[in-house]
Amino acid sequence: MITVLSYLVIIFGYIALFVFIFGLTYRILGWARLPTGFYWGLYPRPTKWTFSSVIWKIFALPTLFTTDKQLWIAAIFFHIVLFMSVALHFELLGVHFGPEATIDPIGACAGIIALIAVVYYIQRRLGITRSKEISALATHFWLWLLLVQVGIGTYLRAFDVVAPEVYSAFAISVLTFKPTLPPPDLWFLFHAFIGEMYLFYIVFGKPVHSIGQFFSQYILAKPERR
Amino acid sequence: MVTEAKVKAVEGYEKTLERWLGNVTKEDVKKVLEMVGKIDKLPYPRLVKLYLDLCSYCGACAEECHIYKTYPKKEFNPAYRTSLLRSVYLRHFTLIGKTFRGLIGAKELDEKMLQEWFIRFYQCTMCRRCGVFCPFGVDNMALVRTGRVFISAALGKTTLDMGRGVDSHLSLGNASFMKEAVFKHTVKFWEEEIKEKKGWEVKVPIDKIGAEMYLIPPNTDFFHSLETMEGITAMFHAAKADWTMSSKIFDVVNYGVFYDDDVWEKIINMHIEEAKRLKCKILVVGECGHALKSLMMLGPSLLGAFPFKVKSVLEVTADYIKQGKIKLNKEANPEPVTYHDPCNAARMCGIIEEPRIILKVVCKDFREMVPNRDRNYCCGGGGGVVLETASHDYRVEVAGKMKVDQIKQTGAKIVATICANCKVELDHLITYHKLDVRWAGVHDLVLNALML
Repeated sequence: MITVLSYLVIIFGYIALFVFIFGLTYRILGWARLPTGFYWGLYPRPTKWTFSSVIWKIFALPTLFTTDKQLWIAAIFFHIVLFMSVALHFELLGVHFGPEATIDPIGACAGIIALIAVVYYIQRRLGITRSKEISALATHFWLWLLLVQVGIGTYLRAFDVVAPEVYSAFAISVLTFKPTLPPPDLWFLFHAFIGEMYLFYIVFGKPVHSIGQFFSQYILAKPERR
Repeated sequence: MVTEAKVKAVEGYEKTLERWLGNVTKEDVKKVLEMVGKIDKLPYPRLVKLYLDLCSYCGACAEECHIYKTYPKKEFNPAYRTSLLRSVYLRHFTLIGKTFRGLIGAKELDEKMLQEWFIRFYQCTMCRRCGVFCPFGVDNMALVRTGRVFISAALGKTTLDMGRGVDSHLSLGNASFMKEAVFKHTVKFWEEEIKEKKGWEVKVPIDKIGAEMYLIPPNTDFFHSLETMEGITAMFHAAKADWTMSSKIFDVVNYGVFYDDDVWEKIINMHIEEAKRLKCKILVVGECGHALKSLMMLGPSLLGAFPFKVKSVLEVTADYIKQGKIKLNKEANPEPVTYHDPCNAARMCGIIEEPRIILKVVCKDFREMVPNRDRNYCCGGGGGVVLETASHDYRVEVAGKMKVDQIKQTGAKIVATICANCKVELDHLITYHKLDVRWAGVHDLVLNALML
């Protein structure tokens, strides 16, 4: 099982990375090459520095705060800890943000907060009609998978299951196209494989909003041209 | 609460919409699919592609939709409505949709789905309130319009009265089958009305070449809200403005905005050409929301800058007030007045403060609705829905219900607005719900308050 999974992590890792890089580039160029056409901004709109208002809308979610405060809290915390967790994964490339004794507890705490947020997302999809009635099977699948992924990640951090040098060596071997076998820990392998699935999924699925909304918010917040 | 009356109203209008679309064949489906495949050829392709890609189905839009709040059923969830287009695009034009199909919500376009498209897209009032609140900046209105555009371009189908209005516009230059003689007669009538009400001898300049301003109102005002025309005319008279109207192109409405790019372009070109012929410096749009959107926002962005400015008559009047060009007596409007922000004027064109500047000096007691400005609720008649006689019950029972509650909460006796379609809808809401309120154009109140 571990051997099969190890090879799967290596092979699918390359596929996922390829799809992520080229797929995302394709998506971004696909949006960028098309003309905006009709002027469909929404008032009130800024008269000066548009970029700041776009950034504000994307990172502070001010309208969601008005609409649904619970969801706003969940979304803000989820995204903060998500960014933190992703940043901490730069250990894979040998980038360290501090001593391991500090980083692991921080990572585990971030994981717990993310878990709470994902549980809230799932509860919302199942319990709130306006969300439940429009959720496809795939949406539920990816959310539950996220729960599993964050759960495993938190466990790996909290119990320091795999030493950073070990998985960093594996990641670098893959990225330099001289792959070695990954650390033989089942949870680590699952975590890596699901992570690769997400890398693959970003291009096709809902996480693409992380990039796309820089375009969409800009269109709505374009400064007045009258 | 979803009452029996609401269900009946919704089902009744759905049946009518189904009838208007008529029998759908496989050939029709094929034609519409061909259009969907040409998304890149739309005049606003980037928006559409983005909005198809970005929705996460979080449901925030539903929480802010005036129709869903009144009628909380899946079919009225804005994200569900736009998912109809998204799912078809996924299924037929993306690799992932072709592979995973129903698992990711991709759906085949068949006869039944096409019928649902027509019904759902024409039930939406395209108010864009959901676009204001979407955390990802997805503007569902753009997708609803796109769905309507596909059906119109492929099958030539739209709703009954909107289609008639467009036929009239393309043949006569206005949406109400009005001949030049009738227009001139109507002008004479409102000149006489001003004489009777104010004692002023006023002449509406017609076809004056080189006038500074060319006024085009929605011609619904000629038979539904003539006092608005009287108010604008008297205001120009009091300000000694250099203005004109046209005997040929005297209707600013452009229903193409709601469903068809070719129609939109043909009609806006009528407006542009007439403004050029009259050699005006400013084309002044009367009290009309969607026409303002067409001429002020959509037109220049697609056809290039015009050789004249486009202004709302509200901007002109507010400027006159600021410059002290007109005298107004607020005692002439002693009753409490509230203001309904038309979606197109406020959210799309930013005409938000101008009506308030005016109302605060022409009314003794001005009260805001809650919410207001860019967050105001639609009256229930937007997106061309009010044009259809058959949509009456749906509008008054469902789409306009939030507006009724808003008006009641103000305690006002007059609800003023600056959109011809909103005026019709408010009229219907007030009558149906027996509200102790009357509707008015902002310039109706200006007329009362004007002094020489």
